[in-house]
Amino acid sequence: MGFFDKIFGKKNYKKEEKNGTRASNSLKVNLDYIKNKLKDSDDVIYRDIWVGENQQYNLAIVFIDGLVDKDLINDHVLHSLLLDSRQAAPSIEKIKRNLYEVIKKGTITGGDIKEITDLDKCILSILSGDTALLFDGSPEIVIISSKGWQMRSISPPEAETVVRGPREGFTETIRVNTALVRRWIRDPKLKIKQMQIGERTHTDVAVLYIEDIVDRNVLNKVMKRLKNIKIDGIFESGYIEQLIEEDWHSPFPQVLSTERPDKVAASLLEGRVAILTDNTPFALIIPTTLATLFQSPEDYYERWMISSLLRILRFLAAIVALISPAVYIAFTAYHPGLIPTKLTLYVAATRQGMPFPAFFEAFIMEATFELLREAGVRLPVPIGQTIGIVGGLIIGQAAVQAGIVSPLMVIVVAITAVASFAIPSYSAAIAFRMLRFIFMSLAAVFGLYGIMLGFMVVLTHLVVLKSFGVPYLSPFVEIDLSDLSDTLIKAPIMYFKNRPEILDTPDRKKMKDLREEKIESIEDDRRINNDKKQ
Amino acid sequence: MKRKLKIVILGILIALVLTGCWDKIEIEDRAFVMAIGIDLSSSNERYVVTFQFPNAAQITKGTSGGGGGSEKPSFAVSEVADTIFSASRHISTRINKALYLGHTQAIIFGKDVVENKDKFQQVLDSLDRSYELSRKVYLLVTPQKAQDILLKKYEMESNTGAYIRDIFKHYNLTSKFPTIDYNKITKSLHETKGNAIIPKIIAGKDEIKIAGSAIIKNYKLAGWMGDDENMGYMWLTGLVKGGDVSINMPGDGEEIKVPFNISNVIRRRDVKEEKGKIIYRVKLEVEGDITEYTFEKHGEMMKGDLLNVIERKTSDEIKEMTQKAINRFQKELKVDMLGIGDYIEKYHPSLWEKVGKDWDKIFPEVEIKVDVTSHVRRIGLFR
Repeated sequence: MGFFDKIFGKKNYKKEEKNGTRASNSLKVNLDYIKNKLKDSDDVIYRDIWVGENQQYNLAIVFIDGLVDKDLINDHVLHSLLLDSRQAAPSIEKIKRNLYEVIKKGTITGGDIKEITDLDKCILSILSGDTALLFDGSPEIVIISSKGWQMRSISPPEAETVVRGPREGFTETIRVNTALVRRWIRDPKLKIKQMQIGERTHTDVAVLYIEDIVDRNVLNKVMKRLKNIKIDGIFESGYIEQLIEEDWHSPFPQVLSTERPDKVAASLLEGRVAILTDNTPFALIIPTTLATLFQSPEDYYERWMISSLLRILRFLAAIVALISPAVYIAFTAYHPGLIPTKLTLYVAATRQGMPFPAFFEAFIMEATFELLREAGVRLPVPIGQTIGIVGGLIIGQAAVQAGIVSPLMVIVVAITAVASFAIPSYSAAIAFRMLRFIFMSLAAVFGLYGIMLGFMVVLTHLVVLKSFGVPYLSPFVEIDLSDLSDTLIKAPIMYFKNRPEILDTPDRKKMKDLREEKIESIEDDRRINNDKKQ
Repeated sequence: MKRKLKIVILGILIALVLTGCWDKIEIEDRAFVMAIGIDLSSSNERYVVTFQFPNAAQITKGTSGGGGGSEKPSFAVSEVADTIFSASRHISTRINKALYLGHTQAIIFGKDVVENKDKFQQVLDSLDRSYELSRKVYLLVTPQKAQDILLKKYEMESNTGAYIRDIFKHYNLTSKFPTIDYNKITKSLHETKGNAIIPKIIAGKDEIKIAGSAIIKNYKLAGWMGDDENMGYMWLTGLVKGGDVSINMPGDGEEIKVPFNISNVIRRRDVKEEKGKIIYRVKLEVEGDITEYTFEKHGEMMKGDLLNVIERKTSDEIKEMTQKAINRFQKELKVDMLGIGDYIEKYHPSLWEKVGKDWDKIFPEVEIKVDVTSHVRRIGLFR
């Protein structure tokens, strides 16, 4: 740790102790305070209003242009206060006694309002897109929720598409996202705890869990670590992920990020915790194990056989993505005796006259491929295809014909690339992509022995790694093997009677055992058929 | 902390730089020896070792069509040296690649090697020590010079080693040569102190032929086995998995040969001791098809006891073969190559305790009884 601290420097954040400024009775003082704080911000709009029979009461509303729904302010605040209140005027006695109460309870037709007396909180609310209504002669400020800005509509999650399953993905607005999860789970026990992280950005972060299912240890850890974050700004859930994960040296993601509300909902029902962050469609799911990185929501929507086959395929793909260039190097440079004779001769033949040793060849091709991928991501979609053609045809074909790269190497690189895309979790695929280069170097130096050494190091690391107290390799390393039904294979849904053993969930039961009933119903059918025959 | 890290990095660097890559040879820099021939020089003192390996550059050219046809598809290089090991080292002065024996398919001994006990033992020891050679290599003996076989180019398959391996692959079509590889031969040599059967190879003009076998007794060539003897030996040792037996049957006028195509063989063995005499009984149950007969007799095959006659004649034919082999081994050579001692040792250990010590003397006295029953399972299909 010390080494990294020295390189990156330890940041010590001291929290500025803030004692909120209480609003005074004077409208002018309060407005001045706000105006002073929001000085040089031209998008803040102050609107003074006179209400009452003789226009004797001074009010003011403050909001930020662009963040608020102007229709709501016009119809439900200004219209109510200025026009409707005259048509059905409340008794003067009442107004005299408490103008504030009358307006709050009897005049404003906006739905979501709350009252505060802290001016700093008031400013934060204004900055979040709420409208503040200030009164003369009263320290209470009414905050009318009027958030309404331009936002992206709900669209399919592009990084995690499925053939069968819902097509909606999270958006950049946290409220929409929490609503999306609520729509999946209509349980009063679903808790959405919201907090603001970031000394300056005050980003909304919501922690979602189901009260009587969630693993309390994990939840407590999540809460504690979130509260410990002291940073000026949070820009994406990636910030939170990196700040709360256990081992930031590890290439493997210890937090699963997803754009899919159904995935979040299913994880919540398993007893996991989800974190939603404002301004990003990526939710975090905690804890995450290696096995969950290979699960796709579709596995549960399709029938178990194809799901199981696809799971096995994905695990194989991970191994291929990890070691296939390394194995190629090891076999050609050290162990030609381990591959079939005909293949050996063929490989030897294709490599005749190659100017580079196998390792350099593999390294050049893999690096080229990564280059193409990176360039393709940056470019707009129509040009991205051009890059594909340039990469695939020109580099692949031309390099082979020029005799710089052997055709077999191109095949190996292509298989590796395809395999790395078969891993559902992008961040997991990145880990395998990076480790691939280390394995290649090991194979170039030590052959298969080096690959085995690399495997041992990676495995050791994975065994030690934990995600919020849950072993990363569970359930493979658990004593209780019942969780294995949802790892390499996906057992029929009837076998998922309980929630995962790796999580300490108070409510274990997930499903009633339907198998006996099914057998009974089959027997009933048989009896009915027999009766009919007789 | 910093010091520790330095030590770790230093350790890794030492491990990589000083130890890594020492045995790394790129695949294109290796010569994959497919066949090795071992002869003695004319003075019988030095070895002539021939290595045959394909020209890798030519392999892909053949498939892509065309290409320079003038280049050789395969190379064979001979080296004269005092030992096999020195031959494999000295040859590197003449070829630009590192010899790799991991894919060697066949090792051919010239007649002069197997006739010289000392030299043959030395050769065997050299092969036994080689860490690259597979234990599945086929060993062969040629009555010619091994060099003659390997230096020739065959149109069928220019890669002689692969040619030999491919012939061994479909041994069960003929049962003309025993399918024993290096593993079995050395096992036999170790267990019987120098006795083994090694398949025989001869080179024709444009092809090679593997048929029959050489008998090695006490690390020395004791003789050759022809087709019948060889097949008899294979019947007795359970090596027959297919092939055919020809029998004489009455045709339309003259006698004609009818092939009995072996499809399945079950061998049962039993040993008994009666009045101090060991009786070894082999029961062979042979199943097979009739694949040829006279044109007009299709319909008659199922009639009468024609099939019984065929079955009886087949059994007699097989019995005759086994008798030839028994005569050769038991009467002439007096070496137990039929696996009888091995069988007694494994399945009748109490008997072996009595006879094991001087089995060489007892073996010629053993009474070997062969019972053959044949069954015609199919008489063939007609169009």
